[in-house]
Amino acid sequence: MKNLIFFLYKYYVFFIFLAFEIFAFMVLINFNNYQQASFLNFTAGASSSIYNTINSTTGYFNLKTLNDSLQIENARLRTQLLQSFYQNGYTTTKVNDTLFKQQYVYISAQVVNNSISRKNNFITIDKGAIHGVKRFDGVICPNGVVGIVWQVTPYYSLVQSVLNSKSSTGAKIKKTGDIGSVTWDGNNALFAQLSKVNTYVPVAVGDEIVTTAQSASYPEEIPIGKIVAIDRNPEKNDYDITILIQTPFSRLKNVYVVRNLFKESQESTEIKAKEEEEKNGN
Amino acid sequence: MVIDLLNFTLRFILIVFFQVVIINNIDISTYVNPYIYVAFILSLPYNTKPWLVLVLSFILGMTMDTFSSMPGPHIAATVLLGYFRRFYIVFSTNKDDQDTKIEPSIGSKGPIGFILYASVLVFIHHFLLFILEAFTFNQFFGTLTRIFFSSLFTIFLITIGQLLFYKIAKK
Repeated sequence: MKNLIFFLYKYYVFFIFLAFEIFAFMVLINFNNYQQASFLNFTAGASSSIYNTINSTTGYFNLKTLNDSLQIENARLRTQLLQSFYQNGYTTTKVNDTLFKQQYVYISAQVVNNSISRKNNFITIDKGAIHGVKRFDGVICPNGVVGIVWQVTPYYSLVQSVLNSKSSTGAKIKKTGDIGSVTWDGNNALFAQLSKVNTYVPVAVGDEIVTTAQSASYPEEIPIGKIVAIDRNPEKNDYDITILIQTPFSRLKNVYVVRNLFKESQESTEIKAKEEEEKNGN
Repeated sequence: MVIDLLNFTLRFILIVFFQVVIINNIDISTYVNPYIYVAFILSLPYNTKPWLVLVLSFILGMTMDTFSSMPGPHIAATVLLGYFRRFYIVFSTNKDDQDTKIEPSIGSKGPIGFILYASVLVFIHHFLLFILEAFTFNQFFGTLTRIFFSSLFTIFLITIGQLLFYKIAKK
């Protein structure tokens, strides 16, 4: 017993070291979604308010470029207003419109923290559950896709950026409509990879890649990027396509959270179909 | 004693602030992520108790983890750095200096001695940190490149910081 105490005392530094390392590894390994949420809840209060202060100061430096990009977007939206269309018909009967039902709601948000140089990049935005943001909502900016809402706290949300090695975005080639999936290999923040495109699809350098509504997170045809290189994958009978990302991730400021009001019904339909398929299979 | 406490608390806050506000916002490349906050542990006086070094490493790592989106990597890497610091000091400094309040710096170790000291410890820290951050052995070569260039930048920045503060201290 005496020897044991002496042993513990002699190597106490090593045991402290061991305890700390075991703690760190346990925290890291047990880090699942639930803990991620509570960790974010715990840190969001502290770090987000600091990031907010930094942002409100540095925000002044790029007001001009921001204004420009917002103006361009305003102009584009103005052209889509009803007033900017010439009326071609004569009938002006008023009806309670049941043909159009709102599907997407946009919540404007500001980026409070952003990184592009890690392997798994996340973006913190200043809108959260009380503003109506829900998990897995899409996030876009005037130039293209940004990512998917990963965690929601009352006032802030964590967005899994497209520049995250674990992210995968449903995409299609605008010209032909063939679908694929956009992933990021974690190396260069300018380029992403498009996979699962079959070799019979005619693809060409310069083709535009846009989102597809199949993913239910993004609306149809939000730009992702342009093809810059095409390689054949001999093993899988599909292409390895490199695309140039259009979203300026390094100077991201104003983004929109897209809430798809039909998302739940779309997903539950798909789940039902899947369940039925499984039943029939058995 | 109280002055020491104030001095190191202030240093801690300043270095965390500098790392989070400035260094973390510089996106040079995916391969260059300097973490200069380890300079706090590197420059603790020689006679700091080993357990205190570990506890400070733990607190510093925890603080840095708070500002990233994953808890654990910074704690593990910084505690490892704090543990190995002792061995390097025993190996590289003479016995009399080890029991004094002298801080490892360019002034006390000489430029080459200090850069070597910083290089070994920063590399140990970055090695564990980037492997834990990637959390996979896929693309191991990419992670190694990341470790190498980030370490290089961290050592460079810490040396510049040392030169600045050493000059100020001499006046």
